[in-house]
Amino acid sequence: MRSSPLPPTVHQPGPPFHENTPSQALAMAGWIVLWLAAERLLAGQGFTPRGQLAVLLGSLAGLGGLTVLVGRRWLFLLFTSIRFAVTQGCFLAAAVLLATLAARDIVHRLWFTSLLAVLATSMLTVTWKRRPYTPARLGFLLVHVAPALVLMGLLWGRLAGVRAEVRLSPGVAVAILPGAGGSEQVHLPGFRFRLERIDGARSELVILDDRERELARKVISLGDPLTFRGYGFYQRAMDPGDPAGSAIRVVREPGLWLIRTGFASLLIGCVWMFYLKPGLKRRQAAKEKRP
Amino acid sequence: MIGTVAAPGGWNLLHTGLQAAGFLCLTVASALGTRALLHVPGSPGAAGLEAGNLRWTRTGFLGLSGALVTGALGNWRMWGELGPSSPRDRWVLIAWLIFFVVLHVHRVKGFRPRSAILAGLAGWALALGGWLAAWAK
Repeated sequence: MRSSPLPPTVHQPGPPFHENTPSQALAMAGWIVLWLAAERLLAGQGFTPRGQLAVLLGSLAGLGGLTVLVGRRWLFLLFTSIRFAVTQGCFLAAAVLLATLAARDIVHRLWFTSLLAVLATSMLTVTWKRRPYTPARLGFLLVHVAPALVLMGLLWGRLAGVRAEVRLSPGVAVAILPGAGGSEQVHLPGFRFRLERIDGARSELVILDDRERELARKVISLGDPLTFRGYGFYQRAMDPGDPAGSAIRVVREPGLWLIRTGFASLLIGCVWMFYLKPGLKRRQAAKEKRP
Repeated sequence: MIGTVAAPGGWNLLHTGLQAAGFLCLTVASALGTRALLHVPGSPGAAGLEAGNLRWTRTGFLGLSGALVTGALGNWRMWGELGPSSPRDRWVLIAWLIFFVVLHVHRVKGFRPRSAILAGLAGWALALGGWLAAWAK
């Protein structure tokens, strides 16, 4: 009796990368390690946070352009994959969770920004895929454009914005401030500000031009800043150890309007997608049922 | 660290109310999800409970989105910063990201509704626990 021959071994290919969650997770981990290493290297070379961010954006633009030229279809499938959105969400949630437990700030870290950039690009690609934009898809469009708008606003602020903090005594005026978080010095354009007096937890500020002419004056307190030519002057919490001094935070956020638009887009989009669209569908179905 | 003084008056009330409403909706969603898990998969009873779980999860997600937005705008008004400044706000962000994942899991081909319910239950327990712990501190 002859034994039957063994069936030939058939190599079963795994799912493609855009459908393969473990491979995506490995790639995301590699992506984080890459930007952690880049951050360390750039900081060692003396790059400021702004310079590091410019390198990140330049690299992303170069990498994105190259991938579009070489593997546009592959990139499109990946960025529009729901599995990839799930993988990204898991990584972002884990990152924020670990940062919260370890009481670390990750918002300004390069690797976290690189994760957000991938998420925003995915969202925009998915939005592009869902054309044409009918009223039924308006909610989807708004929700998926929102993260990209918020990220663009934040990046604009970090590239062209101002963050500075200074502790002043009454009568002292400044036009050059030390940057916050290791960023470079801030030069106020064509004006300076003086702390006039301290009244409890409030400070009276005066904005002066080059000829000592008063341009603006306000008593600021927590939650009630002075705004002048796009710059916000915020009262920081008073230091009980230094009652004669007042800490003032100076901020300029040029992308704030984009961030606010992104927030509005997210909320309106959610309401449209979750509540108005099902209502529209029900109404349409009822109309079609009628004789 | 900028500080932990909350934004003033009504704005803070709205922000905290949205956080609480978001978590409350997610709690209802989790209760419905738990009941759905106790039914036979595919039965009409389970399908209704799964649909209810998704509806409440979406409402909770909207509440958390509102809390994130009001938190960011309140922080901006207060400090000139948009990021979450308090541990509670950070837990809301974690919950938002978890339910971003859960809502997408519902749309992954081949995933059963039960996978999304289980993911939602785990996320709800973690995020609500962290948020309540941040309140207690």
